Amino acid sequence: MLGTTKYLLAGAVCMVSVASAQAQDVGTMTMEQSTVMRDGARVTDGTGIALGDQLAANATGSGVIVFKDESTARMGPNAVLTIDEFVYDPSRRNGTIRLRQTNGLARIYGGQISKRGRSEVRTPHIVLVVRGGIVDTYVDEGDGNGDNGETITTLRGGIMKCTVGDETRTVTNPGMSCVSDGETLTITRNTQSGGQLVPPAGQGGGTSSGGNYDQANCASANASASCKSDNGGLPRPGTNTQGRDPLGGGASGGGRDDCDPEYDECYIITY
Amino acid sequence: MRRVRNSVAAGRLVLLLTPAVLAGAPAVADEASYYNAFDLRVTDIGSRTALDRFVVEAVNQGQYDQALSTLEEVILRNPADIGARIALARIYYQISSYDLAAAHIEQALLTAGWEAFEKEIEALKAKIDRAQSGWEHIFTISGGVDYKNVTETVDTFLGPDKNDGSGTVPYGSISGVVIRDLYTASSDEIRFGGMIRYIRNVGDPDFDNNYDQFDQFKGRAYTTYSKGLPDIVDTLRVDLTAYAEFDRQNSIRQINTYGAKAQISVRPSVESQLWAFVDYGWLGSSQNYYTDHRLTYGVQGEYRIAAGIALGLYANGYYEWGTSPEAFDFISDFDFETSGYEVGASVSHLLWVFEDGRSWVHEGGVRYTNGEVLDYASLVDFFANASLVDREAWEVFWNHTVQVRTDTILDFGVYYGEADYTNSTVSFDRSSAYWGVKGGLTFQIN
Repeated sequence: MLGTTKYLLAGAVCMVSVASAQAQDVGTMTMEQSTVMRDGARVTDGTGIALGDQLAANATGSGVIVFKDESTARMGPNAVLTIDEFVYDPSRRNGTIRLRQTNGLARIYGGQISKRGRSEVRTPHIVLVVRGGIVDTYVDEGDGNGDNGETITTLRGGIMKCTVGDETRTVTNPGMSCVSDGETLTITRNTQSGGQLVPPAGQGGGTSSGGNYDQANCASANASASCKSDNGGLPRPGTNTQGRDPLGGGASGGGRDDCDPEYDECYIITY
Repeated sequence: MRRVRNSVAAGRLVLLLTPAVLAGAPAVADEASYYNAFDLRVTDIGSRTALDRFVVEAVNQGQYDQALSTLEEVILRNPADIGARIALARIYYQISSYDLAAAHIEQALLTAGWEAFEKEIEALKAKIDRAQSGWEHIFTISGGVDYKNVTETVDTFLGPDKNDGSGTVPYGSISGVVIRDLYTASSDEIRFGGMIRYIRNVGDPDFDNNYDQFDQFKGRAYTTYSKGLPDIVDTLRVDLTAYAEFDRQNSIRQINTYGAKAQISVRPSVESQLWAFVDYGWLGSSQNYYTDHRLTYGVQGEYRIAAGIALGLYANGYYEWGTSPEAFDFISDFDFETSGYEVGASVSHLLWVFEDGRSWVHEGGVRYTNGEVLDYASLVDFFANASLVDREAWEVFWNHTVQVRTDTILDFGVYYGEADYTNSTVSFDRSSAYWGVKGGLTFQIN
């Protein structure tokens, strides 16, 4: 039943998104803090987000938009985001998502589309493609009087591609940033911690302790080295398939239990 | 003997089928559970139960980005939630986003009630600090016992005959790697590593048709320069390695290898990875081992069938050449060349996740090799004359890896294999079969 519903939804999302832009929600604002606006009205928790919507946070505002492909846009101070395109086929977990960010700070978490299709964020200075990862995007729109501002995109996980004019650079190392004023593109190491998107411990009240995620293998205190991921997160047991040693070697029989840490598979299976 | 072989054949079938059966059912249920949790996450807005459930499902499905975005929402709603804060730091650490991991750990230490999590926070903070320094290291110490039973053809006074032997033999190893991050956009790094391994081995490594138990020490030291080439293909990497290896098989044989290896890897999709390599080794300084040069090459692929299930395949080839101490024609032809291949497949499955997050993985596989090797048995005859011999061998195995503590892994497994040597121009055809049960512990220090 669940599967049937999803296939129907797949068709619906694809068709509506492509054919008639505004008709159907492509995501939900699951959390908003003072304040995020759309068309002059505040967007509250649970509000549907449609194609073409422009959302703007003020200097203290933040919000979380979860799209149907599980992509998430976390809006930070002064973020202005527009949903330009969203095409998603859940049965193939593929499609296209294109956001436009014209100001402020946001963090984009790639969903299913980013792992198989095209997930793109456009700013006045950079075209950013996110592949199965997480990227912080900061846009300074400039003053309009000769200062064109700049965009800084910082990889937090996975892969990002930055394009300015004819130049494209691919970044796979978290913490590295693309910086552009729209004319040039440079890659630097960002020594900032992304602190503006890390809520301080004392802010907002609430109660301590709370979540226990021991059942989530790789989020627990017992997480092993097999949980490390360099592609935005797909831990899986590795296979001993290097086949480096001759067969029949006594105690080394039965798979490669003498595997060498030089190989990724050995990291995964041995430690 | 025939009865034994029949029962072994049945065992082989069980070995091959069991992982596949275990691997199949949970994957479907996991996927449905994940999508149910996602539906709840976007419909039951703000529900802590819904958020937590999706975090657990997403992590266990390997969807780290989804887990992180949900945990970020939990923290936005309640910045004092230290459990969510630590989980957030831990997952950012897992994806090498050390700056964010450090920032959240810093905030965890400022959160009321952090003392109850002090040990966990300190351990994670130490890992993150090391990673941020640009140096990482992993050291392991392993030890265990292997019971092995071997049946092989030996040369008796009355001619070739089968002989059974068995032994319970210990093994142990120490390995380590130090990784230096070169702080480039393409995640370039240099790795310095090494391994020393001791095995009390059982078998006939010198092909002299005598069953031996012998001490074997193996070691390897290497340096690898690993460079990403994402501007060509997003996930393309090339690893260049220089290495030195030794293999001391008691007084029987001493093999020294000095070599270089080039390997490329790419991830065609988030679920798959491919490798290809070429490796040249010089073995000219070995004793009682007459291959002087070895060229190996191969391809390997790994595919994540579903969350927690991976299929691996490989195919390797080798080409060796050297000089025999005895002539092939009794007179003048001492040089030889040999070649062969090996193929294998295995399925690995995350069998169980304990309540505290520890894991249990098992893997079943098979491998097969066919090729030509120097017939060492031919060199021990009274009237020695060198010969090549055809070797055909295969093996099935089923291994389990249980995480008994954060830093300790229990390994155990069973295996069965057969090898045939035929078409020697000097010695007789011979075959061997072996099976074994092994178990050991591995401690990891990092």
